[in-house]
Parts: sequence; structure tokens; C-alpha cells
Amino acid sequence: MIELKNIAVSYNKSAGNVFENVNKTFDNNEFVIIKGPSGAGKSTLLAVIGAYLNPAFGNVIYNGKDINKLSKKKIDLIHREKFGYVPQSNVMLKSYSIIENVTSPYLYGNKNLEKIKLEERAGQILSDLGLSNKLYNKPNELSGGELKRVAIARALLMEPEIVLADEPTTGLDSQTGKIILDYLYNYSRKNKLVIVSTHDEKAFKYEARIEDITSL
Amino acid sequence: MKNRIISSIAYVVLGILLILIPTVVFPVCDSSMMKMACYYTGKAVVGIGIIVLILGVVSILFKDEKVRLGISIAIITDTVLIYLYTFKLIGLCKNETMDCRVATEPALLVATTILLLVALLNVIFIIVTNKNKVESKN
Amino acid sequence: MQKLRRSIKSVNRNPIYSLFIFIPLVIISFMFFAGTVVDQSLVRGMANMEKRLGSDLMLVPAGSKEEATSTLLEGYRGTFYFSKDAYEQILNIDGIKEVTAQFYLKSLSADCCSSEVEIVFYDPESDFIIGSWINSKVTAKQDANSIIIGSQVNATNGYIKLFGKEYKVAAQMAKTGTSLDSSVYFTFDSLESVLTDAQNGGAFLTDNQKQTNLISSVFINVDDGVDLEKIIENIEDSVDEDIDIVYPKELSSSLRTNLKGIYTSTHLIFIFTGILIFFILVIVNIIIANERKREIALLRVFGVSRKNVISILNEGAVLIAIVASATGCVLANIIVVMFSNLLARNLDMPYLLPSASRIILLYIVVIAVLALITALSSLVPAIYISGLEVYKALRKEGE
Repeated sequence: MIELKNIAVSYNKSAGNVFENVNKTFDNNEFVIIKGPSGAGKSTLLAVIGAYLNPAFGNVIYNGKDINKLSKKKIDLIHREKFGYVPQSNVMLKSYSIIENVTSPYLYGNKNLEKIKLEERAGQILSDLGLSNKLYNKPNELSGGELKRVAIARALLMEPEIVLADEPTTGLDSQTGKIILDYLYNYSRKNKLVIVSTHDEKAFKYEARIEDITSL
Repeated sequence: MKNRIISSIAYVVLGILLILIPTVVFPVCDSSMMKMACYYTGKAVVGIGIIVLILGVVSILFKDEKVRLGISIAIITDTVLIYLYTFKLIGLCKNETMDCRVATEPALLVATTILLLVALLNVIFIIVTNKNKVESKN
Repeated sequence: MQKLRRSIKSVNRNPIYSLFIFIPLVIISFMFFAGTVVDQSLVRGMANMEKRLGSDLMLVPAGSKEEATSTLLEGYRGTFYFSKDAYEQILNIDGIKEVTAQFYLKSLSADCCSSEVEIVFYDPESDFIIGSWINSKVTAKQDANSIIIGSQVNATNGYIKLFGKEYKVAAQMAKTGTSLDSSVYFTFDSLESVLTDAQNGGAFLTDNQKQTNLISSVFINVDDGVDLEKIIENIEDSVDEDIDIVYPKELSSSLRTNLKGIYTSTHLIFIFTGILIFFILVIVNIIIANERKREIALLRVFGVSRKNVISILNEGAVLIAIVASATGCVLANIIVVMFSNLLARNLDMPYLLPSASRIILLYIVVIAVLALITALSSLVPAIYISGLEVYKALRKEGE
């Protein structure tokens, strides 16, 4: 469902390409792990797949169309409804509660969505992730592991087709890491595509397609 | 604690203002020929100003909120008294162009109203924070 | 409603930055509001002075030119006198449209008003100065026992006591912001009896004041298009006594020019300060936008459009601008209105506060302009930040 054609990425023009000539296809029902050492470009690849970063060269084809050639409005719509992104570092809206952090990004400028329904769903996902008692706290009252779970709830709120998680278990204890990976894996079983970049050994225990960043 | 210091200092400063306005800053009409109403109003306001000043000092010294609540209520009644003296009980000169009407009156009005607002806010603040304390204890 | 909540959260996010936007705006709105009200009051007072006292020429006894000018401007009614003959001698000069005479006296302080009141005697038939602006309806045509009073003079039950005698108030003038407000007006019919009362009441009258065939000033309006110089020549030829000539209209117009000058310089100061504050706002907004870079990038990740993101960055600032400028206006309003009499006295010029509707208009203008300027100041950093490539903006330093 998402296809990379001749993708080349570079950090800056003088440094040359981090990787080039990458051709891959990803389908629904896949749980993909992109493994490799830090700094090798896993995050960058993930960002290119999700169209959060323009590749230096090549096309990202989603549903038959080159994403980066679509109108800004269409790209924003895809990002809102079809993709979910869990960034490597936790970025939260400081003055909002946890549940508002999960729902607000979708509510901005979108009068069609019903706040109450969204908050219900957000509450459900946060409970599944073990955060039912923190719904109304502020981000600065939660630990790193808890915030990561919030980020996952946020990415999954609209039941996106594709979920991109950048190092979701780094720096977390193994119990929390397991909760997160379980949740992501189970999500992929619902006919979704989940791509995880990680060097966490636990991830390899799942039935996954593994891509090595150094040998794309 | 912050509330205690801010409101007490406000009381002290405003008390001093009430003392200075009718005497030094915008003195009431000259009474060498004849003692007019504004002369007596001025004296009354100075007296109340001294009371407010003392209450402000006391307010800094006492941590007990009940004491400070009482002081703020007392100050509210003092401001009402100033309004009464200035406009009803004693009053000022009838003529709009006299010093006491042109300068002293508006200055007193502004200072007294600020004092009233500070005291009111203080009362509300103390009551609300006490309510919260009681609730969280339960 | 949502927007309001969001704006408030924006403001609370970093209270110190918000303060850096709040305080300069309070200052500038205060300055602008107060300055404009004072300017408009001076202009309004000036316009009134022109209307009420603006005749082409004013004749006064020789040597009283300065006193007469003060009389016009500041209201101190000089006591200067010359013979009534002067009035009669110029009645028939060609080119003179209207002529009227006045006589000035001062009351005792103890009488009615706890301070002295200026007494003006005028001729209601030839008068073209006082009659045009009576406030309350004239209940009876003014006779020898009735008096017209200025807006600041207090009457008890429709009567005023002067030199021990009570006079019925025939009318009270509208407020002009000039010396006229603290004056009272008799017709010449009352002159003799009032002077007698004054002497009996113990007032000290000069020899001049004791006579009833004297006047203090003659106001003259000339026909359109006539040569003023020529008329003045004729006047000086016709009048036996030595006289001085004051030009009230010229006087007010030169004052007007001075006022305009003050107006311009104060407004230049405002504009300069405004520009300075704009730059401060821009800098603060750049800092804020930078700090929110990652939050904004996150919102963009989830498909929030660039337009929406820009408005999110703006909202907090505009909310602060509205509250701050309203605060500044209210503070200025309190000071300027409550202390307007003190200001007027210190400025020593005709001074009349603008009407309530004008003041409301001023509120609206100041708040709207400052909100707009603030929105503009946050626009550039907002546009820049919202346009950054999302992934790069999202990363922490050193990732």
C-alpha cells in the first residue's frame, strides 16, 4: 500500500546521501521492524515514508499517487486520517491535559469531529495502555514511559491505516516496552500497516518483517 | 503567604496615601479665613488613613487567616466610611472649581476605591482558599 | 469559545513572555487614550471659546489689552472701564454688522458660591455673544431681578444670592469649558441696583465701578468682505477716548495653530513609541514562536493546516492585546476624567471633555488598532515557523 521508488535521502547537500536507490513496498497486515545502529538513518527513513520529510530523490507512492506531489490540503488530510506518527522524543502540548493532548491535534480547525466521541475513544485507548488514572493530569506530571504511551494513543486515535513509530521503546523499562510493542503488534493484525524503527531486542520476538537499515 | 504580604503592603501604602492626599498632595481648601467642610473631611480621612496604616502593619504580623479576614472586613467598612464622610456626612465645598473638588476629591475617590477592591479581593481569596483546604481535608 | 480557551492556554503557557507583551501595550494604550482625550478637550474648549467670545474686534480701554486677553482666555474678568460714549460713537460706522457692550464686576466670596464669581452686564437686545447658548429654557425674559448663570455656578431652588439680595435664575448655560462657566449675567437694567447693593453689602468699589455710565468692553462684528483696517481707522477717529483693540478671532486662531503644533508633536511621540513597541512585540513573538516550534511541528504532523497553525500562534497574543489595551484605556479614562478639572486648571486653557460617545469610539479605535498591530507582529514569526519542514522542526537538538 505504500511504495518507495528510488528513494534517496541526504541530511545536507554537501554530505552526500545517507541512503539511495531504496525500493520497497509495504502492505497491510504487516508489522515491519527497521533495525540498525543509532545514527544510521532509521528515523529519517520513517519520516520519508510518512511524508514528514521530502526525499532528496524518488517517489513515495500511497494508494497509487505520489504523496509529495499532492496538494497541501490533501497531504494534511492524509496525515490526519490515514497516518499515525509516534516521534522519537515526546512532544506534548504543555498546558493541556493528557486526554486533550490526544484529541486536540485532530480537533483544530475540524468542526466535523465530535469532541465528546473523540474523548471517549481517547479514554478507551489510554485505559488499554494503562493510563486510565492520568487522563486529566498535565504532561509534566507523567514519566517518560507514560508520555510515550500517550504519544501512541495520540497516533492511533483515528484508527489510521499506517502507523509509524520511531524508537518507541528506547529508554523504557522492559515491562512498559512490552506493553507498547504488544499494542502495536495487535494493531497491525487489524489489517493495518505498522512500521517500527528500533534496536530493542524484544521487538524481534514478534512475527515481523525485518529490514536492516544498513542493507536497504 | 504571598497574599498576606501583597495585601498588607497595599494596605500600608494606601493608608499612607489617604493621610497624604488631603494634607500634602492635594491639600483641601485653605482654612485660614474660615473652616469649611472640606477641612473637616480632610481631618476625618487622615484619621481613617492612620487606622488603615496600623491595620496593614498588624496584618503583616499575623499569620492566622481569621485575623487577616477580620482586618480586611474592617478596612472595607473604613472605605465605606470615607465615602460617607466625603459625600454625605461632612462633604466638600459646593463650588466645582474649589481645590477640594478639583483635586482632592478625585484623588480620594481613586485611592479609596483601590483600597476597597484590594480588601474585597482579599476577603474572597481567604474564603475560597479556606473552602479548598476544608474540602481536601475531607 | 474554543478559540477563547485556546487563547487563554496560550497565554498561560509562558506567563513571563505574556507579560512582556502585556505591559508595553498597557503603556501605549494609556498614553494614546489620555493624550487624545486631552487634545480633544483642548480643541473642544477652543471651539467653544471661538463661538462664545469670538467676535472680529473687541474694544477695551487703553492699557487693558493684556487684561482683556486674559479675560477671554482664562476667565479672570479684568475690571477695566471706559465711557459708554465710545459705544454710541461707533454705532453708525459703515461696515459694522453688529455691536454690543459689556460691563464687568466681581462678586463677594461669601455670598453664594464659596468663591468669587464674575458678574457680566450685557445688553440683551444688541447681544450676539451670550444669548446663543442658553441651556435650560428661559422661563421668563430676563428682567432686572433675574440672572443667567454659567454651568458651574450653584443655585439653590432656582435662586442666587449676590451682595445680600436674591435673584431668580432665568437660565443656566451649557458647559463650555471656558471662563463663562463660572460667570453670571445681568442685563444693564440691573446695573444701578446691583452697584448699590454692592456698596451696601460692603464691597469695595473703585470710583470707576461706582458710576453707571461706564462699560468694560465693546464687541464688534464686521460685514463680510470689508476692509478691517479701514474700519479700525474709522473707529479710532470716531471714539474720543484712547482705546485698545483686541482681535478675539485672530487670538483664537493663533491659539488653534499652537494647539495643532502641540497635537502634532504629541502624536509624533505616540507614533515613535508605537513603532518601538511594535519591534519589542516582534522580538517577543519570535522568541515565543521559536519556543513552540516543536509543538507546532507536532500539530503539523497530525495534519493541522498551516493556516490554522498560524492562527494558533496568533491567538494568545491578540487576546493579551485586547485585554492590555482595554486596561490601559480604562486606567487613562479614570485619570483623565476624574482629574479633568485639575488638568484644565493647570493647562490654563479652555477645556471641555469629549462626549461619552466619542470616548467609547476612542476605546474601540485604540483596542482594535493595538490588536491589529499585535497580530501583525506575531504574523511573521508564525509564518516562518509554520513553514519549516516538519520532521526537522520536530527533532530535539542533537538527535
